[in-house]
Amino acid sequence: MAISASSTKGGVNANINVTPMADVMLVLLIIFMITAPLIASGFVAVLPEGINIIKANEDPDDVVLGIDQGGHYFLNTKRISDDAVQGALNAIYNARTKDKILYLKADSRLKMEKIQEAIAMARKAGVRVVSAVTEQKAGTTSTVSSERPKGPGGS
Amino acid sequence: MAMATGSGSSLNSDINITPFIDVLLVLLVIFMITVAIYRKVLDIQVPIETKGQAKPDPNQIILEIKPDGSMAINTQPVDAAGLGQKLYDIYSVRPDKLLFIKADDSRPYQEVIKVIDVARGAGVLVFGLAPSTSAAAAAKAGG
Repeated sequence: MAISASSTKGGVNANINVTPMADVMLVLLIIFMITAPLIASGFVAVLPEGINIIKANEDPDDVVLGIDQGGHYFLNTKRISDDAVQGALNAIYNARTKDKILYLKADSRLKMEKIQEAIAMARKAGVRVVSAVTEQKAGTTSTVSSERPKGPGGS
Repeated sequence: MAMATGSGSSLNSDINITPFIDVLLVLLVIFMITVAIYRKVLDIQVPIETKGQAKPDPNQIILEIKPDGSMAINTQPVDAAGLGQKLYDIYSVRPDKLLFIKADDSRPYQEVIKVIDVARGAGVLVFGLAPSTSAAAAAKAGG
């Protein structure tokens, strides 16, 4: 009798265990805190996809020129008017002594005309390498080295 | 007596793995973020601005993307399916792994990236993009 009583031990616990839920919520909070500035900038673009992509280390000093699906320019995630791009690039690359690389984050559906326009401006500003930021096509891995080769433009 | 027995719960021999899994999930998220700090790129070399037209090297390989989307390597037509193999045949015997791409202004950006991607798979290391031939784009960029 005592054994059977002890096997049905413990009254029903009416408290919901909120600890795992709080953990998940905290993680979600952190994720949204990280992504919020990216969303807030209004930059909407579907990056082009590729397979044999180079992995470049991200550096806070990198210059990133974004062109969204509407053809609007974003310099280092901040919206910039079309007329101001040339001046801003000139100012950056005149003062920059290290790698003259411009990371171009452009929507894949844009016409080459827009890309050529951006590259022409970059060229005028003294950029030597335009790095087209791409996405790895889902389920693929590069068939060649992902190291950035030493090109003639690299000094 | 029955109450006293009930309060003395038997020892639970199972390890509570819930906090352990929570910690592992957080670590997983952290690693997912740190992996993403690599930027995935395809490099395009930009020539130094020169006054006047430089004399083209007769040995260079130029891949042209025409307004209708068809492609040609040094004016020889090539289809998208055979592009990788064709480029591999060319570049496996060439010391300079340099390819110029001349794309029509009306073609989408993705198409050029795809060509660069295929060419990288075929052993090309350095890419050049021929400047736009249309006067409108040149004038816009100049102004």
